[in-house]
Amino acid sequence: MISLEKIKKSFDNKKVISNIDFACEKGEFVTLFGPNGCGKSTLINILLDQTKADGGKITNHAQKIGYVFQNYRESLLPWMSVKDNILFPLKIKNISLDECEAKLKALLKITKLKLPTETNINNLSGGQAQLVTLLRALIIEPDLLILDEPFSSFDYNLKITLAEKLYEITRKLNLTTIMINHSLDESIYLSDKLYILSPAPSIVKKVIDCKFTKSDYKATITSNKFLNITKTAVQNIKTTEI
Amino acid sequence: MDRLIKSSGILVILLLWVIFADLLKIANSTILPSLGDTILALFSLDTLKNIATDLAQSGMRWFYGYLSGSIIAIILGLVIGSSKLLQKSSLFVIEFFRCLPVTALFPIFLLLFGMGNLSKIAMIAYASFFIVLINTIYGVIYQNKTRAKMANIFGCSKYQKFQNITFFGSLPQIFIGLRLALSISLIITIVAEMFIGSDMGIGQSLYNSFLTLNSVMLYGYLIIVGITGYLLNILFLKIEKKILYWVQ
Repeated sequence: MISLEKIKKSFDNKKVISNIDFACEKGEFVTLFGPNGCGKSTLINILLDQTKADGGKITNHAQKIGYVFQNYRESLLPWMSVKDNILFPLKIKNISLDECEAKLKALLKITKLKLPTETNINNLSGGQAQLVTLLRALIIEPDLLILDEPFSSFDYNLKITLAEKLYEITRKLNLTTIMINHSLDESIYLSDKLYILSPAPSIVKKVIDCKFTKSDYKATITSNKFLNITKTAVQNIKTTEI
Repeated sequence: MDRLIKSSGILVILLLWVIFADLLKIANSTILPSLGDTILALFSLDTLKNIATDLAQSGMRWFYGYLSGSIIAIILGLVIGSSKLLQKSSLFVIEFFRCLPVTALFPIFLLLFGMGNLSKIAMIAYASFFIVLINTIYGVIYQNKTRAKMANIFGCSKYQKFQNITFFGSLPQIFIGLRLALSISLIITIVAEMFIGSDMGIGQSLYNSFLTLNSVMLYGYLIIVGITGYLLNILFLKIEKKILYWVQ
């Protein structure tokens, strides 16, 4: 579905991405895990055609892409209601209000999410606001969902809740998902495949298969299988000098 | 208690006025008339009628000037702010004219528009224009980058991006400009009436009071100008709160 081959990228003669090969099959959840500045976001921008790569081949068969931003509050439109924010990608495609409403109703039902849709965005908690950005990404029925550090600004308890919800939704909808993340536990829990990147100029240090039967978050991250994967991942993480 | 704290500043000023003018009689009544005399003069029927006419005249000049200058500035600011090319090419012109005080341009306005209302309205519009223009341009330029990226990813057209994101995103900065321009345009209204001259208007009456050494009315008009500015500011804040309902 998506593949990046031998991608290279420099900014002002500083090499950020040295040579990266990456692939994501249909229905797969893949996480890019690496230190700050290793080019994870650049890689996504290259995939989305927002940044040009210096070299390499990009194959992207996704027609509709949903995106969940790290700075989720800033990506929302505070002058609109929760509902209008979620329906924004549909409204700009001139889809009728009735169809929009029907799609929202169906999406809320399938995701089992309850949100005050008529209220203003500012009245929502951080977790609720992030769910709005997730619903906004899902409302277009995306071929590809991109999550840019979706939990980075939440406390541990909320991270668990959101991770479980995200796991449930992505599997239920069989979504092809690429996530950028800093937390190893969440990445292993959510992903089918984990790409560990080296510090810049980055290369893929290791691709780890994380696909196994997962139950709830706490039970999963304390299972032997999970701990073994964590061990493999940690062995391939290069510590960053301060 | 809150009201008392809020009005304490003005109460202190009035108290000092009474102490210096009425009790200590430090200055003669031409320099600082009695507070009581000033208020009594203000509330006489003839004066009230004159003040109402003056306020209507000055208000009309201010309203047309402020409104026209601000509307043109917002439209131009949105256009310039949206185009890097226009930003670069207009920077010198904007900075040049912005630095010219409108009072220094009085003769030009008189030559262009004559002695009537038009020259005064044009001056008020000019003074409002640059403040609102600069703020609108910066409002557009310093948009939230994440929202712009979101719009691109979801496939917004340029017009949809402007309509749904750029315009609303720049409104808080536009309102900062409008609020600044509100007080500057009031000052220019008074100054233009004082120095260009007119049949009626607060500035003209204030100047006449000075020429005839009618200190009671001079101070009275100053009070009226202050109260008018204060009330307009309150009205502006109420409108701002209504329009920018999402700004916390």
